[in-house]
Amino acid sequence: MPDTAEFVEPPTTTIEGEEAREEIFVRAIDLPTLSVKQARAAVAQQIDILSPLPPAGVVSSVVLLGPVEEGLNRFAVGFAPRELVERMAEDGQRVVTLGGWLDEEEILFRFDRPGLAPGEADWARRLEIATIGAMCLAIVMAALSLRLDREADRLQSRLGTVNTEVRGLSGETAALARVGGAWRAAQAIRRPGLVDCALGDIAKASGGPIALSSFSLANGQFSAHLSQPASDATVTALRALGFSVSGPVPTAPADAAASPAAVRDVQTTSADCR
Amino acid sequence: MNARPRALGYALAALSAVVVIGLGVRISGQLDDLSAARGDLADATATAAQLKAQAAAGIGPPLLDARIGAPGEALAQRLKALGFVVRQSTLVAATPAGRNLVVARFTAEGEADAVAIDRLALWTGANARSAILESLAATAGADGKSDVKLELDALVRQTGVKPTLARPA
Repeated sequence: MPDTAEFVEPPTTTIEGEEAREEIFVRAIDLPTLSVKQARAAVAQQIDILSPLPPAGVVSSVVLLGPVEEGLNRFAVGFAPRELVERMAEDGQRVVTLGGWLDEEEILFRFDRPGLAPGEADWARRLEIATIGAMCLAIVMAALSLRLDREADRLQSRLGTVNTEVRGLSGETAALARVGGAWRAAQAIRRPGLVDCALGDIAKASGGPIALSSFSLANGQFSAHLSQPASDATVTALRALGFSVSGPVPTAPADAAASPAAVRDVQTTSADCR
Repeated sequence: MNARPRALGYALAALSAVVVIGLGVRISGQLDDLSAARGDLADATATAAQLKAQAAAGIGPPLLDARIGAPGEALAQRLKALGFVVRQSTLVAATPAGRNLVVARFTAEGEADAVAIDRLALWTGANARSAILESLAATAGADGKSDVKLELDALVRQTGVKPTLARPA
């Protein structure tokens, strides 16, 4: 490396205040390269020579100024105390920008935060980003939770309405079941075919049309009063068909046997007449 | 970075993590509750629909429609069609038997011959789901016709009837 380094006084910074301005040292070096990376490597190799402070307590930064001679380019090298850069670095900040003066020209140097190797993961920064992300997620989740609360309230309200309706309908159907039960029971007892069956059986028992004074159907029982007393054969046939017969009450057992023809009232039920 | 902001950063991160985890647990519980409530609502809605269908169906098909005309008059017309001479036909009682459906008790008086009475029995049998012949009394008259008194229970369609008002007959 050519020995073109020079010490420039006074080292100042314009953006970090009076304290920093007094602690920044700037040197100009001419190197046969345009690469800042190579310049940085060259400075790192010669830092014990270039730095006005002990190398362990200093950090450096390189800025390309431009060509000076055939094949040479001028770089400004800033040296800042490690403690100053640490103090200036904000929480989680990787790079600290400090200003220094070279030939009455202000140059801004970007110093890497000490202790953080290039490419090394910045866990503090990552934690900060994760915290911000978690906060945003928490806000979204809180909003979702509120939304779910409202949805649950809406569902509960609707469920209450439907349950009320179900209770009302249950009352209706219970009342309906009672009426339906009574209706079906009445249908079972009061068979509509009983009149037809009974009249047909009476005609069948008498061997043809027969005159009735009256008949009635009530509570599933058919009763008829014949216009003329039934004959023995008719009474026998009626009994065989499930009818019960009745007539004038006999005064003695012998009368009952002697006057079966007095039978004029016959009865049957829906159970007997089939 | 000095120690205090770093500690604050860690504390904030931990707090955020706790809040996110807590909200996650809460949302999970809410989703479970919501799912259960949706299931309950679906069940209740299905039950309500089933009960509505039962209430609408009533206990059987109507024999007469009170929206068309007076039920007593409608029954008299039916009896006349069967061959009866109807002197009187009256609706004496009604019991709700479904949505817009009542069990109506009719009494009727008139005259009928044997054929008409036979037709009445057949007609009642044909409409067994809608009508029950509660009682029938016939007394022979001089002209071959009988004086007839009957009581008939029939299902009648009627608006504005709800079974909740029903009392067992």
